[in-house]
Amino acid sequence: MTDVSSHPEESEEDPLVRVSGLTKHFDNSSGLLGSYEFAPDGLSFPFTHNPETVRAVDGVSFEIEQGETLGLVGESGCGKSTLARVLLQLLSPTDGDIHFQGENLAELSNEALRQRREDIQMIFQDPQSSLDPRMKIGAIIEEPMEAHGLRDATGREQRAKELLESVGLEPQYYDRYPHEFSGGQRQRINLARALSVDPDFVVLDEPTSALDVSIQAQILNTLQDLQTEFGLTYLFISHDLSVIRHISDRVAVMYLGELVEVGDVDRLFEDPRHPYTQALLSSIPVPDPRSRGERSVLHGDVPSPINPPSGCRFRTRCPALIVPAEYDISDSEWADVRELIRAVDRRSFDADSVSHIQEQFLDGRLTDTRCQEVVTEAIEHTVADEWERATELLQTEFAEKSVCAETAPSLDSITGEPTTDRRVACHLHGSEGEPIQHE
Amino acid sequence: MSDTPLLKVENLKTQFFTEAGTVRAVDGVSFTVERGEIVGLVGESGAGKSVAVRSILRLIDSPGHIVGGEITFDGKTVVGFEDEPGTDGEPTRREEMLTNTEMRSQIRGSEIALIFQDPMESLNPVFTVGGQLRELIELNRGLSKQAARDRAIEILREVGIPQPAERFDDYPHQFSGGMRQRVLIAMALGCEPKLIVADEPTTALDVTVEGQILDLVYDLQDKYDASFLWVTHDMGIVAEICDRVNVMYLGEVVERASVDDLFYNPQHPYTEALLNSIPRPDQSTEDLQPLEGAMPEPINPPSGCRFHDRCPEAREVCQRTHPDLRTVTEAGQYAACLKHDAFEAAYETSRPLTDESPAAGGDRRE
Ligand SMILES: Nc1ncnc2c1ncn2[C@@H]1O[C@H](COP(=O)(O)OP(=O)(O)OP(=O)(O)O)[C@@H](O)[C@H]1O
Ligand code: SF4
Ligand code: SF4
Ligand SMILES: [Mg+2]
Repeated sequence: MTDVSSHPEESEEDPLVRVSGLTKHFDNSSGLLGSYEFAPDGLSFPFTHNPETVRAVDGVSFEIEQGETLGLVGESGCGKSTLARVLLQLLSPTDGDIHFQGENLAELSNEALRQRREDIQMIFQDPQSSLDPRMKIGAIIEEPMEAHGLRDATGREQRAKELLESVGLEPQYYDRYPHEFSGGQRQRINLARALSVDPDFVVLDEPTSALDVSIQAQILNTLQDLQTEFGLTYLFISHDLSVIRHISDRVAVMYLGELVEVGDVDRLFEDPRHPYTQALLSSIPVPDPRSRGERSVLHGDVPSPINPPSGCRFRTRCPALIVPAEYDISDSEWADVRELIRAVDRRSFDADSVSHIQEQFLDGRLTDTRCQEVVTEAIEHTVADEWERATELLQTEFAEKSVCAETAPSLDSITGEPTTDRRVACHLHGSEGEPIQHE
Repeated sequence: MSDTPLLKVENLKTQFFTEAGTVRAVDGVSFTVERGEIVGLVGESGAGKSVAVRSILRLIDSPGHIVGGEITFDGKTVVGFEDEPGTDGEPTRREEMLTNTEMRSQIRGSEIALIFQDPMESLNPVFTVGGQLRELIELNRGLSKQAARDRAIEILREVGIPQPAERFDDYPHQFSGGMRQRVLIAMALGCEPKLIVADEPTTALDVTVEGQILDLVYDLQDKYDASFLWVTHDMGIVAEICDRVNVMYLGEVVERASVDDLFYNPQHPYTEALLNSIPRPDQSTEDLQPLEGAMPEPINPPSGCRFHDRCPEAREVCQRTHPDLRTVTEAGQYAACLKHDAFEAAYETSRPLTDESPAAGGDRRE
């Protein structure tokens, strides 16, 4: 039915897509922010106008093999959609390379790039606004073929009707208008349109998020059928972990512009290694009343991508933040101190008396006297209503002395994992870490 | 009085009179919320969940009207009509039915708090977050301005707003979506309502933020003994927080069950289909079995059982006979499906509707 185009220059070992060190920064003052999904950190004005850089995507590397589905998951504002747009050449990267079928997209001539645009298609979340209401379904599906000068009019019509059937619609819909169709049907029309130019690779950005569960299930099944029929490769972006688990072969987890874990879908869901992946997975309410209460909660908000934390970007919320090497305190003592640091930062308690606060957060005095001194001093500050000084003290004496703050963990294979496929960016997992790249 | 339900909705009918025809958005819906309970209202988009909860608060705007039924809340009549229509054929309000002014002063915001999917529906963008909360507390609890301010900061802290005193004078747009939702919960707390009605409050939020909000719900229930009516389409949330659940389809409640029965022993084919179409986060699902088609418009609902054109168990009798909601198990589970003996509908002997049936004439995929 279709010719899965082959490219002679493609070598056997090359993945279909290889992204290395991909980076996209937005200059906050240039107005680009308007189109940028953006999570405020909860501690500062969300849309600041200082001319700082939004580090939307920062040094992301991954590969996608021919025929597989890579799921990209992360919370809103973590950079998923920006990454997709850079990949599709809708935005130019600040740094890094994208190789498609062995070719570096940045080095292609205009003509070759045009050809590549045909091979890479995209489906967006909102099926309502992505179809021109004045155009008939047939014309909508044929538009990309026309733009790329494929087939004659009869050929295009025939192809459009075939595609309508492939995506589970009736060929008679060819002459109808978008308003006659439901959200799920419109998403199928989008699919037919994207497939009309025989792409190899389809980027799907939250394609089912606006749909009801029963319609979502229909679309997910159709996507899987089409993948088999046309030999497609997918990058499937979603914040919905259940959907990601269902559709993906491999999964990449993103936090604040960086990948924190990549791996085979079942291994990643059954044995998540990065503290963020663990927290994400354990926060989902499971559709089973008998596993109630097994959820755990990740506290705090995602920090601003304008000034991401030094070292590991997850460290301000990480439940496993590593104790500074110079202190000699037990794990449970450190857990208490960690709680205190964050509670002071959020000013989430009523600072009445030093002894009361000490009791509330700590189980007796800390064994390391230096630690206890710092804690006492910080608590005294809070009681004196000097929250800022308390925060600063705890940050400099504890949080910033952790290896997690000093060095950024790199996304590396982990020890004890049978395949090299699983990569995690966390100091708990044996990677050496790199020197700090930014403050 | 405490053995009567806190909220009782009986045979509620709400319709929209549009150019295209009468939209029977809520068509004879009944359910209750007991004190201290979290009751779920679930169903697909357009099933009538929001119209039902807005009817409870009498927040239906023209061309919509509550045309029938009875709603009592804590002994007060929120909706109640005379048996006989008036001379103009319109339903006549019974005398004890609360006036619009009484709804505003006695019920909304004070006795029943509302939390919408979009918190900006309830927050005024031109006033500070703290100011709005303080004023609410002042009015509802008769505190002085300073005492109300202190209480407001305390509540903001309780719902997890970081640096509550410093952020008191921020405007709503300076808060993230998750924080705004927490502010609404804070406002709900500020007036200590008996019932909190939440219409998809976490749908627009990330899963970690959603988790924070769900935890807050438990705390609130513990601390203030609040009851909840929780609208959602997310079966994960249903499983996590609800005590009892009502499943809606095309303007009707088609199943009512305790949360455990709903998941482990569903009695309506629609409930079963919903459960079979969700991918699971905790196990790999090989095949999703989606329902075919999509829910029809409530302008001209299908005859007989409204689900018959999509139901995998539909039989010929289902096209003719409309099932009401009845007890179908010993445990007191309710379903509106003719396959149960309670309906005595000769379902067993009726001819199954196969794909050649008239209902399959059009495109059945959507
Ligand atoms: N103002 C209105 N005018 C006409 N029809 C309306 C109006 N408001 C709601 N409806 C119709 O009433 C029906 C029920 O809508 P409702 O919003 O209650 O559904 P819902 O279950 O809350 O869906 P969702 O999950 O999308 O929130 C729908 O068919 C809707 O189109
Ligand atoms: S590097 Fe440190 S802060 Fe980052 S995830 Fe690992 S333990 Fe947590
Ligand atoms: S009454 Fe018939 S069509 Fe309706 S749910 Fe039951 S079996 Fe299905
Ligand atoms: Mg709704």
